[in-house]
Amino acid sequence: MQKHAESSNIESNRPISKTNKKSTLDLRDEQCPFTFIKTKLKLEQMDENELLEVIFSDERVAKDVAKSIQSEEYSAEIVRGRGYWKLVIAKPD
Amino acid sequence: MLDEEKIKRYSRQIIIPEIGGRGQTKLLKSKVLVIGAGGLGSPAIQYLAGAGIGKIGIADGDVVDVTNLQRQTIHAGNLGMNKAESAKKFVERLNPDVEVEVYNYNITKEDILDIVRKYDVVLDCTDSFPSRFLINDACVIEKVPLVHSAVLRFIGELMTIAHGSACYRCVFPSAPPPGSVPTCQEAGIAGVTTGLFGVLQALEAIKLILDLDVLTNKMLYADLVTMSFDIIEIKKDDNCPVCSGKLRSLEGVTYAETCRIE
Amino acid sequence: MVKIIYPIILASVTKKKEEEIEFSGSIQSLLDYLCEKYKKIEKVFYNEEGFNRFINIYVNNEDIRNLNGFETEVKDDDVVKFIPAIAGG
Repeated sequence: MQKHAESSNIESNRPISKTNKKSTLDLRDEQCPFTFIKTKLKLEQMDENELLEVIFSDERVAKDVAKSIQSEEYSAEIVRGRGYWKLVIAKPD
Repeated sequence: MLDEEKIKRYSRQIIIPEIGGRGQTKLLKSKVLVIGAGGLGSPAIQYLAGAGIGKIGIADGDVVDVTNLQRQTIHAGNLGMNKAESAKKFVERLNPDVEVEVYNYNITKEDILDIVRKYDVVLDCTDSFPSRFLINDACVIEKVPLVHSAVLRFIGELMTIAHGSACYRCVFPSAPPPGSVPTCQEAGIAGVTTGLFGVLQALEAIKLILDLDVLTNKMLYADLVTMSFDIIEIKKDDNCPVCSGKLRSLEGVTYAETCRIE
Repeated sequence: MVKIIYPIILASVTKKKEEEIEFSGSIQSLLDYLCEKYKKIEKVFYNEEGFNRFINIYVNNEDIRNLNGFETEVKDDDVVKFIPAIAGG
């Protein structure tokens, strides 16, 4: 997968915070609601100060998951890549 | 712990914030004993199995009869079979993640302590006063959380005994003399009543495992005809011989007639 | 009006599941009133030792044992519930 991604964040201009650890989850082949469920399951295993990047093939899906995640008090930002959408999620303090 | 199959099977409850993957893992590791696979036990077992309780103990010495099928729907097709064995067959078809241990006899004073201590939660789904007092006393002595429910016609009650709360004897210290309160056979019981209350027992068990709020020191009392659902406050009785800790063994107690502790 | 809710074993005597009466006084005097009104109810309420322990009495969902026992006062708009032990399952 090409690492190049547009650095303009769709949802906000807040830069991605500095962090110790980052995990990546590729859900491009997943269907709803497993897009949200698997994101949630991965988040449960993470510590604070960890970032999770989840990759989707569809902007709609990325936005839906972002909304569901945000209702559980995580912060999520969407980054557009070449042929994919990345959701960057930070665990709250 | 959660493979692809389990994520799919439990997806609808993993989404729930109070459950999530962590909660699901707890459920899969838990052990619940259902004493009585009849009116209350059948729906309780159904939903415990659906939720993915890792191990369900099922105790019942009775045999499936046609008069049961109006409410004990998991026994469909199993006339003449022992109810615990019949319930196990149902669980196996519904959810292979659940291990079932069958006690195809009525648990007695002699073996109940050894049995209940192997479980995280006990459900009293029996239908007689002696068994209810026996189960209450055993669970309080062994400090195993107990979910009690009892029903008649369209009336039901539900309470959870756990974490040092009031116990069943705090509400009723002894049983009515035989014949003074009608049984389900005499007064009748609606399938919807046992259906609802059995599921509520499963709910309390699930909440206990997930560490959510349960009905301790409270009793839900409902009349399904008038649709009144009341939560009655139960105060722990300082003189209760059981949950005060005074009762250490079941030796001296007779579980018959009024089941009184002298 | 005081509302009284009767369980199955009392409703078989009173022929009704609930009723509202003009009443104020203690639970004991309410029991006396009901025994007067429904002759057969006395045998359901009492045994040789006194009031049957397997019937709990609640005023506004509070056990009278946590209030003033049989001296608990009942007044207008109160709901009195009789709840006997049941064992069906």
